[in-house]
Amino acid sequence: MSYLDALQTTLAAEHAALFVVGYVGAQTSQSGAPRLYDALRESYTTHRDRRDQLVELVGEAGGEPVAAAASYDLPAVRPDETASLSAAALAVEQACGATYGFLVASATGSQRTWAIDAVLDSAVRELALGGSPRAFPGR
Amino acid sequence: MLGAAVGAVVVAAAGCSASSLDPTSDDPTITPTSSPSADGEPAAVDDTALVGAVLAALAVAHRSARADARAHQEVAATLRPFERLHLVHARELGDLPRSTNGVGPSASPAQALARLGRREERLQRTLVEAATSAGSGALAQTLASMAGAVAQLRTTL
Repeated sequence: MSYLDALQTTLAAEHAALFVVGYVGAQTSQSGAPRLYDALRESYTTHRDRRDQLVELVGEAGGEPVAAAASYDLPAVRPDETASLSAAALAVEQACGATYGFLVASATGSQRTWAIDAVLDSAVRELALGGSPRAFPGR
Repeated sequence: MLGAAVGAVVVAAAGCSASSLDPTSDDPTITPTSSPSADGEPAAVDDTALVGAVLAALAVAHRSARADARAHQEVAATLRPFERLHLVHARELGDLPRSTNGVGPSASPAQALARLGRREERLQRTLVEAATSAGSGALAQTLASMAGAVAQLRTTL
């Protein structure tokens, strides 16, 4: 997989992550589950920033950024059930972290540094979404 | 499995099969990062020294955490997950180098936790630097993942 292909794959994953995290966030009560709500809001902001940066990186690499799909399959969460909502958001975060891991493998120099930072950021965010420390996050 | 379903959303949206995102698959997704040689063929990647340096850093952190966990039962529960993580990571790269240089325990539980924090921060930095400079993309991915694991555990301090 070329660096550009890896970038496009990561961008596509971020499009999907934004859609799913936005959906899960909309099912979460700010008053009933304030910590999860805040974690999801921060997650959404970070994924949106990463998506925008990836669009720029794809352009710099000479590619046409992949567009978001019109819709995505959504997880069957139970609204206002914190464990269900956290699990859905955590799964998205872990999948995104793994995608950034592949970007690390395909990138060099400052692009790799950026991807490593994303792996670390994703690993720590897993904990805010109910995850536990593990030996190889992002892999 | 809800988690698997959501993971599949991201994977499917990424336009590639699950196997192509599986780091253990044989799919050659790793682009060689070595500089081409004069004849245009990729030069062999030799990360031996880099792996040795990472293992040495792991060994220092491990001996330090182990000494403090044995000496200070009050904080052993905090130190032991780091010990275990060092061993798992070392096995991924080879094994911890044997050393006759012992590491003594800290003077107090508080100092043990302070030393742990410093050691693990240094270890995480070493792993990030090694991931940045690794010739092999697969090794870079593993080292970045290890740094992520240390970052996760450091949040427990």
